Amino acid sequence: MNRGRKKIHTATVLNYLLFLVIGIIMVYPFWYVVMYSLSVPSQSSLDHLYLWPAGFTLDNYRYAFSKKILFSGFFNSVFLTVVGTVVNMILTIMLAYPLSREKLPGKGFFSAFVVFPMLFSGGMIPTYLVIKQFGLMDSLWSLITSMAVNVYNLLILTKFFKSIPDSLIEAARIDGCGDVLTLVKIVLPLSKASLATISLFYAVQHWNEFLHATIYINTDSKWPLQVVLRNIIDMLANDLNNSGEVFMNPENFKMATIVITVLPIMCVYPFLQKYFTQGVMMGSVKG
Amino acid sequence: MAGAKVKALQGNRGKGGKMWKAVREHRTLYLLMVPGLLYFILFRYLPMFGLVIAFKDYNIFKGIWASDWVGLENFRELIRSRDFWNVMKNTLRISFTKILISFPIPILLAILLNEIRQVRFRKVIQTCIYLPHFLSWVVIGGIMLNLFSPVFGLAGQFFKATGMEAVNIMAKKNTIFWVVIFSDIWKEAGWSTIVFLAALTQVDLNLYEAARMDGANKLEQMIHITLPAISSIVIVMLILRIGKIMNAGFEQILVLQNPITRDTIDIFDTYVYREGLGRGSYSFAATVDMFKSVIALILVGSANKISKWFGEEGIV
Repeated sequence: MNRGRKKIHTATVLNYLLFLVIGIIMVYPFWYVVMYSLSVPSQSSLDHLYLWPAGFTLDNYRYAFSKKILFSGFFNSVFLTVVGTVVNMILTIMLAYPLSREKLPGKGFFSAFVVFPMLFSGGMIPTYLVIKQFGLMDSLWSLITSMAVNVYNLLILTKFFKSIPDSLIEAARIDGCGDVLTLVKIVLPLSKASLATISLFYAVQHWNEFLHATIYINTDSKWPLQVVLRNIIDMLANDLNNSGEVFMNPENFKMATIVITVLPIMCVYPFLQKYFTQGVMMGSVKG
Repeated sequence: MAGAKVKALQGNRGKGGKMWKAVREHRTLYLLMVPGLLYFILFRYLPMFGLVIAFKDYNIFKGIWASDWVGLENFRELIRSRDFWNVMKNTLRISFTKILISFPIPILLAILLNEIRQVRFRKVIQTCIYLPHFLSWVVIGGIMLNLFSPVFGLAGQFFKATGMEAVNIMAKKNTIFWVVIFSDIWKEAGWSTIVFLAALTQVDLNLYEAARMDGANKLEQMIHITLPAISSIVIVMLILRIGKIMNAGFEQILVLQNPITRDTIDIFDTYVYREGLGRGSYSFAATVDMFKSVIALILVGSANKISKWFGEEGIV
């Protein structure tokens, strides 16, 4: 009996230790990057584990902020995230509400219509050609319009709208509210948590946008931040090459750029974690 | 009043006139849907029609409709292409390895994390392991390039300290595959525990109490209570994952591959990207993509069916 209890105890301690190690493995790279970015560039970077900065300096950041392309990238990403998310939310709400009304004639057809693209898509090339045809190439609007509704988010919101009691909506209509007024006055205020979750889903997706931006946007001053970062990492950015500067500290500079890219996400991370977890639940639990 | 009217109409939906009346009654709702549906038509359905270029020799000056038909020529070229088979092999190899190794890890982590009763510690750990999910592959790739560099990264220090021969595992053909697998685990394993953790919190704690009374030890409790409790969600997640086999991780591979390692980890999406958008062989690239999409459709469709057999809601 006694021995059995002791054995459990050891297992528990090992379990805690395991997660301690896992936690460190997850976080250390970020810590390392931040410390690296605050370090004085040196020939002997191999001597430091970067548990703390090797000779503290903000020069890497000063240098990063002197780069025009980083500024334009940052503002492009802010624009994309803010405008993109607003467009996403308006379209998703306007589509989700009718789809959540069981009595809407033709609801089955419309549901199938929005879900089918989840199963089959034209793919990269035809989508590219369509966007080119619309004259959206080389503009942030190509990203905003071509990803205006995410089917998964649409389904989450529809599911939530469905869970709002019909009696509430009927009552509003008896009081003389039209559909739009019911949506704005009754449904949306009841859905604040879901709306917050979905807007965060959309916002993170826009902030991290890289793939489509590399496909649709060619002019470097129009690049969102992730594409700028990728090019700085690859050392291809025009602004960097044409200046004719010799890089004394590319690694420290790269790390500073990474920190700048990640910082906004880190600032909202507590909210992200809370709402995203809810969102995943909403998506997975049966409605 | 309006509600009653709708109810009255429900019964006679089949009759034309009344149906029309019901539609008119909901006209505001239809109007609300217009912008969203327009998006779907323009950006989701229109490209599907654009897939006709797989049967044409797309000419940038003639446009999609005026380009010449070539029948199945592109598909013949595809089957003859060595690249295509290489890409197919890589996609399946990466996907299957990810399922084999990356899929069970979150389940194991969730079970172990569920055993941790100290709430604060558990919260901190969850915060740490969810973090990488929110960062882009560009950021993570950038960090990895530094960490694994023998010249200025942590890997360099390791080689220096151990006296081993310095190699860059991100620039070697035989190591890049595992870099892809393990970086994927590092980024997503923590986040993937959420679904399983949710299932675990549903388990009735009295069951464990009863099992303890019957003399079951921790391991036995795990096998007889914990595993059955999450087995259905595990099966569903697995089926859904298998449905996505044709996607081996576009953004990840695009960020991690370089000219030296390209052949070993080139997948459908990166190949289509390079062939189509890089070299301008639109028709051939669209053909490759179409082949991939059709297989994916079959897989997702079957996965959905199977998941419904298991009494779970599919993705659709």
